[in-house]
Amino acid sequence: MSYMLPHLHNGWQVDQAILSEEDRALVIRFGHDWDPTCMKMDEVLYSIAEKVKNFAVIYLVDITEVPDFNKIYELYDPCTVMFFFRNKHIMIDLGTGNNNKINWTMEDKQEMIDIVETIYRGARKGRGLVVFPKDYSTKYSY
Amino acid sequence: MSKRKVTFGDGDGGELLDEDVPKKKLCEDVVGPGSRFKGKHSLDSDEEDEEEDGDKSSKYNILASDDVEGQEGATIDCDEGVPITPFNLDEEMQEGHFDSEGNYYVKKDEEIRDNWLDNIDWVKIREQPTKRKKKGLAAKRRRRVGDEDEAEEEKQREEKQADSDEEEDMEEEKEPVEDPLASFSQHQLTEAMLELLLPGETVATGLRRLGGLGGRKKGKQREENGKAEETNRDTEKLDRLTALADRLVGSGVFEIYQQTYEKLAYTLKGKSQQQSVGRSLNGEEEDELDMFADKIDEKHSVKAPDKEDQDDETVSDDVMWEYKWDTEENSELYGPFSSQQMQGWVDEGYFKDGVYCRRIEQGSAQFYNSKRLDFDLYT
Repeated sequence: MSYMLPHLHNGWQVDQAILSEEDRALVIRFGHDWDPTCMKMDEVLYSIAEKVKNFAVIYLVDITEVPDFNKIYELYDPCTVMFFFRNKHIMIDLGTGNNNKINWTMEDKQEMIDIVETIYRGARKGRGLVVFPKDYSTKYSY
Repeated sequence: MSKRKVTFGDGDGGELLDEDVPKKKLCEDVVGPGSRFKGKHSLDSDEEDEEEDGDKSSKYNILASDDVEGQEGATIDCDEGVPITPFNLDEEMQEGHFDSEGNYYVKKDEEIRDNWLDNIDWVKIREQPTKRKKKGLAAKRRRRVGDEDEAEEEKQREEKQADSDEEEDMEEEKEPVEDPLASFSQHQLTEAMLELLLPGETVATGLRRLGGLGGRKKGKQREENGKAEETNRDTEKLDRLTALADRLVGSGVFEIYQQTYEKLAYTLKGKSQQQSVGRSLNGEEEDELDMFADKIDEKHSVKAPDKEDQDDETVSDDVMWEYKWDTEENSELYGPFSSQQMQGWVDEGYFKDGVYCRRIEQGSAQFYNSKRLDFDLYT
């Protein structure tokens, strides 16, 4: 479903997207359209895009096409989802130890909506870090 | 009294400290003129209190001009038209003094007088806190040569004031003007704002327009057109808009200056819909009394037309929660409770071990532990 979500093709577009959204949170998926992890993530993101459109907007960025952010955001995973609000990167405590991003596939749509909503509410209140109620420290179930 | 040689950078400046200050040897390097660090750079607490008494007496000793080395009496008066002053402290010594630490204090000049300060009658001012000071001033002002004009001007000003509107009326006018705004709800404030704004502009641009500054930041071409608008300063509307915006910021709408006309109209419409729904439902008592609370829309499970709005998870609604005490399937659900209530209970420690709560809405089925939930986000 990557073709249904808007892509950003260069660093300037990413910057503009982050700067221009005044009211809504930004969800940016960094990865590749052909990567399986990204494909699953894009599926989830697309399914929630309509529901969260009032308070969030979702973009996809190909990290080969746009390598500008690979270093500063440490985009070394196949799929990375980061959140921004009003030109600020919003951190979210998911219990995984990395508060900057989501770098695994989130299967549950409702959880994804909840995450985006928590980000939005927290960011609106001026928080730079929000705590998400669910703990994903055990997400790797063997 | 310890004599410290203050030097000004020449080759002689080797002997900073004399032998009669042996205790301070440890911190020779740092303690110099102007240094505030009087202590020693060691951790021994024994050394702490030894010198304090001695120091206090010598702290504010004034530096004698002879103590300063390297001063010159006079030098060439003029170097190619530039007047040269000799390198000494004579002038500074006249106007103030140095203390032993090298700090300079200017002498308080008794001769500088301020006519205005002298002529204030403080008693009169205290008696009339609400009335303007000027009245007391002008009445009491002693006329001096050169001050006559000013005093006359003031008297004229006051006569004009007395004629046009009496002071008492002015005071009373001020209060009632502010009162109506104070009693406006956010809704009414926004409504009043809309009347003053033009479509397509934000509150900030509206203020700029009413203030008459025109297109300052725009391109050169527009400047020429904008100049015609500059003189159009509508102070009354400007004041009103400023007051309204200020009230809204005070009541928590911090982004008001960036809100556009359309945005305000949209939020108004949304709120008036909610209000009409809330009223018909006898919405929660708290919200009816609290004029700044967002109205709950409880109808989204009942009324079909409103359902569309609510599906889009609007963030301005009051969020209700239900909870249960453990994770079993058939535990009893308590609720619905508002976020404020939940937050209050969490703060009191009522849910010591955490309860499992979830939002009341169609979507969520998952229960979250209240320990990790921040209800503050939803208030």
